[in-house]
Amino acid sequence: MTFDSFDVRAALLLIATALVSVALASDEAVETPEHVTGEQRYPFDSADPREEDEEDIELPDSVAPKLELLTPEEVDFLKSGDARAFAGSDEDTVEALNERTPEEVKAWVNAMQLVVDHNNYKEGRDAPNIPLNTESPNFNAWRLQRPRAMDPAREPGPVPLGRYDGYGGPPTFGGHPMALTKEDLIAGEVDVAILGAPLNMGSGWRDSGARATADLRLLGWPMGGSDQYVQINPSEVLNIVDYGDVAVDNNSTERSMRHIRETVREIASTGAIPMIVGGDHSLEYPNVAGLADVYGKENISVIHFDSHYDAWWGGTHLIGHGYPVYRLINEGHVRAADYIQVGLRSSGPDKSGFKWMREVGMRYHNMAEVEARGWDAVIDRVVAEASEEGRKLHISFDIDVLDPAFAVATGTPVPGGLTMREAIPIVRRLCAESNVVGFDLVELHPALDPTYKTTLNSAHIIKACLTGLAMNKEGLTAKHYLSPLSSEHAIDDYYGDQQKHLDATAAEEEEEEEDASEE
Amino acid sequence: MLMWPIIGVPSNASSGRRDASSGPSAMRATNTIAMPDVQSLLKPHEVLSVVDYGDFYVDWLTTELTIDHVTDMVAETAQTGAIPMLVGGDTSMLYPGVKGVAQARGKATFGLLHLNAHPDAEQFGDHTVSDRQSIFLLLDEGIVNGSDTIQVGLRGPEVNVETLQWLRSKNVRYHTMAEIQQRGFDKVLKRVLREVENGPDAFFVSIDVSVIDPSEMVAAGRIAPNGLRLEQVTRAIRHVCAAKDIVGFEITDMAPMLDFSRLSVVNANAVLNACLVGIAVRKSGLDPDYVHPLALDHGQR
Repeated sequence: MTFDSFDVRAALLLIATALVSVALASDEAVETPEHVTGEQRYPFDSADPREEDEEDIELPDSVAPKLELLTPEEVDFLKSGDARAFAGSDEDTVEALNERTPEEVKAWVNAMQLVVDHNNYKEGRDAPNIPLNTESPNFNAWRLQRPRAMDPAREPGPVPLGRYDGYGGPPTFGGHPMALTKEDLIAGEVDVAILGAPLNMGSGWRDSGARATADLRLLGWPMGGSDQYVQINPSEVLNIVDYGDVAVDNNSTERSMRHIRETVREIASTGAIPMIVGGDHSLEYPNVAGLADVYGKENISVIHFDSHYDAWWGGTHLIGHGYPVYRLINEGHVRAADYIQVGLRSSGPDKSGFKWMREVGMRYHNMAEVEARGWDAVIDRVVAEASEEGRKLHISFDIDVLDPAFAVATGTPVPGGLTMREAIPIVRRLCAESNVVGFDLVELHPALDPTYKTTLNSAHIIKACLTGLAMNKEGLTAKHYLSPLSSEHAIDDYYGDQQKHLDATAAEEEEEEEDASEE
Repeated sequence: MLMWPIIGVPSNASSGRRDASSGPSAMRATNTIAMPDVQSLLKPHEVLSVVDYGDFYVDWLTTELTIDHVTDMVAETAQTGAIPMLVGGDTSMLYPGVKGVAQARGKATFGLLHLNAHPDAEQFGDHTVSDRQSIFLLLDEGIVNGSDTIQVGLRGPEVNVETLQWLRSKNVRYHTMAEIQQRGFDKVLKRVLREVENGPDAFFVSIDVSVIDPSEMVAAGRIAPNGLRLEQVTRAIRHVCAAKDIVGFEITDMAPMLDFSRLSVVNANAVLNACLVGIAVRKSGLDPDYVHPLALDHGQR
C-alpha cells in the first residue's frame, strides 16, 4: 500500500506520535498476553481436550489386496482418526474399501489426505495472523484517548449531565452521572461503573454495538429509580456512574480485547464494580480477564447465563462470541470448577461437551434440569453454589437466556428460555446474596425489535442487579429477602403469617428511626 | 452460451449498521429478480441465461481473511466467460469483486461505475481492507484507472476536501449530490452517460444501496439522507448495462433487518433487475433507451 498524500501523512504521524506517549500511557503490562496480531503466536496450548484421542481404525486382513497400491504413509493415514471423519465407523471404512478397486482406494485416500492438508494451517501457504496496515499513521486512532492536559479543567468526580436531577441533558444509563477517568471513580467513591462496550462482531444477527449502548441510554430509565419488591432505591445506597463507552475495533474482535480488558481493570482497580453492557458475548473474556488482573488468577467465579455454553474451541479465530468460557479457563484466569452455567438449551454441546464439563467440575444448570426439578428448586441451588464462602462472583448475562417472548432482539435466540419473572429474582438474589465483583449484559441487538421491549427488559435485568448490590451493601443478604411491607398487606391472616410481616415491618421502621437519629 | 450467475457474498463488516450478510438470502427469498420490464416488454430470463450460483464463503470475523477466497472465486467465475452479478455483503466486497474480474480480464481494461453515498477512498486505514477503503485500494493498486472510474451520489460524512482532492488527482469523475441538486438529476445523468460512452468498451457496475434515498432504502447499512430516487438509480443502471459490455455487477450493504417492511429488499432486487434488463436490451439489439410502442401509448383515438 502506498500513500499519495505525504504531507497529510506526515502531519498525522506527527500529531499521532505527540499524543501516543500520553494517550496510551494507561497500558499496563499484564501477566497474560492477549493477542496475537502481528507476528506473535498464541502462547497457550490450543488443543481441545474434548476431542478424545481416537484409536486407529482396525482393518481386517481381508482388505489387504485393496491396499496394495498404497505407500506405508497412506496406509497409516487410512488407519488414522482423520480418515474416520470421512468414512464414518470402522465398519463403514471397511465397506468403503471393499467397494473400491485398488486404484480407486489410492485415489480415495489421496483425496482424503488433500482435504485434511487443505483444512489445516500450513506455513508458507496460509497467513498465520490477520494482516493490519502497520504503516497507518492512524493505527491506534480507534482507542486513542484525549490526553488529560487537553481536557477542560475540572475537579475529578462524577458529573451529573442533566440540568435537573437525572434528566434535561444527554441520556446516560439510568440517568446516572457521567465519569470518564479513574480519578473520577476514586474521587466519587464510585461503587458501580456502567460501561458501554459496543462490540458487534459476534455471529448470529449483528447490529448490537453502538445501537445497543445508545438505546440502553435512551430507553434505560429503569436502571434508575426505586425497586418495589425490596423497597430500596439503588441510587440512594450506591454511587453509580455511566462510564461512557469503551472503544472497540469493529473490524477485529481480537484487536478490541486488550483495550476492553484494560478499561475493566481500570474500573475494578478502584474497588468499583464494572457493569459492562454490550456488545456481543466475546466481551466475557476481557471482562473476566480484567477482573482477574485485579483480584488474581483463579480467584474469580463466573456465573454464565446463556442458552449457549460458549466453550467452543478449535475455530480459526481465537475469540468470538462462542469461545469466551473456554479461553478464560484455558488461559488460567478462571478454574473450570468455578464456572456455573445457567439456562443452556441450544442444540449444542453434545455428550462430549457435557462430559467435559462434568469432568472438570463445571456446574451446569440446563433448562432440562428446570424441566425436571422446577425453577424454584434450581434457583435455590444456583444461588447457594454462587454464594459459597470465598467466591468473588462475576455475572455474565447473555439476554438470549431469556425466552424470545421477552428478548427477541438478540443475535441467536432460542425458545424455551427464562421469563422475566424468573430472571429478575435470580439476578437480584445473586447480586444481594453473593459477593459480586463484576457484571455484564450482552447480545442486545435493538434493531431486531421495533417495540423496544428487549431493550427495556435488558435495563430491568441491570436494575435487578443494582438493587441486589444495594441490598448487599445494606446488609439485606438473607435468603430471598423481600420487603415485609410490599410483599404482604397483612390486613388479614390469609397465609397464616400475618404477625411475622407486621413484626418485621415494625422492626425495619425502628431500625430506620435509629439510623436517622444517629445521623 | 454466455452465463449470468448471480452470486451472494454475505460479508457483514459494514462500518455502519450491520446485517448485510442477510442481503443475499433476503433477496432470494423475496423473489422479484428478473421481473418482466414494462419499458422494453422484455423478460430478462428469456433473453439471458441467468443462474443462481450460490454464495461465496466469507470469514465471519475478518474481512482480511475473506478477500483472497472471494477474489479467487470471482476470477474463476469470470474466467469461464460468465459475468458475475455479485450480491453483498458489505461494500468491502467491492474490492475482491472488481479485483477478481480484473484477474480474469486484465487490469485497467474496463471502467467502473460506482453509485454510492460514500466515496470509500480512505487512504490511511489501520486495517488493510474495509468498506471505506474499497475504491482507494482499487485505484491504488491500478486495478481500475481513476480516469475510467465514475462515482455518483456522494454525500456521506467521508466526503471532505481531502478526499475530493485525492479523487480529482486520480482523475476520477465524481458527481456529488451537491452537483445533482445544483444542476438537476437529468443533466448530471446526461453527463455521466457521456462519460460512460467516452470511456472503455466494458464496464463494471457497482452500487452501494446507500446511494438511494432512505425513503426507498431504509435498510442501507450506511444510511445517508437526501439521496437519489430508486427510479433515478434504476434508469441510470439500466442505460449503462444496455450501452456497454458489462464485465461484472455488484450491489452491496443492504441490511434487511433494518427494514421490517421488506420494501428495501424489493427495491434492491429492482436495482439488480435494472441491470439484467439493460443487458437483455443490448443482447436484443435494441437502443439503450428503447421503449416498446405498445408500452408507450395505448394507440386509441
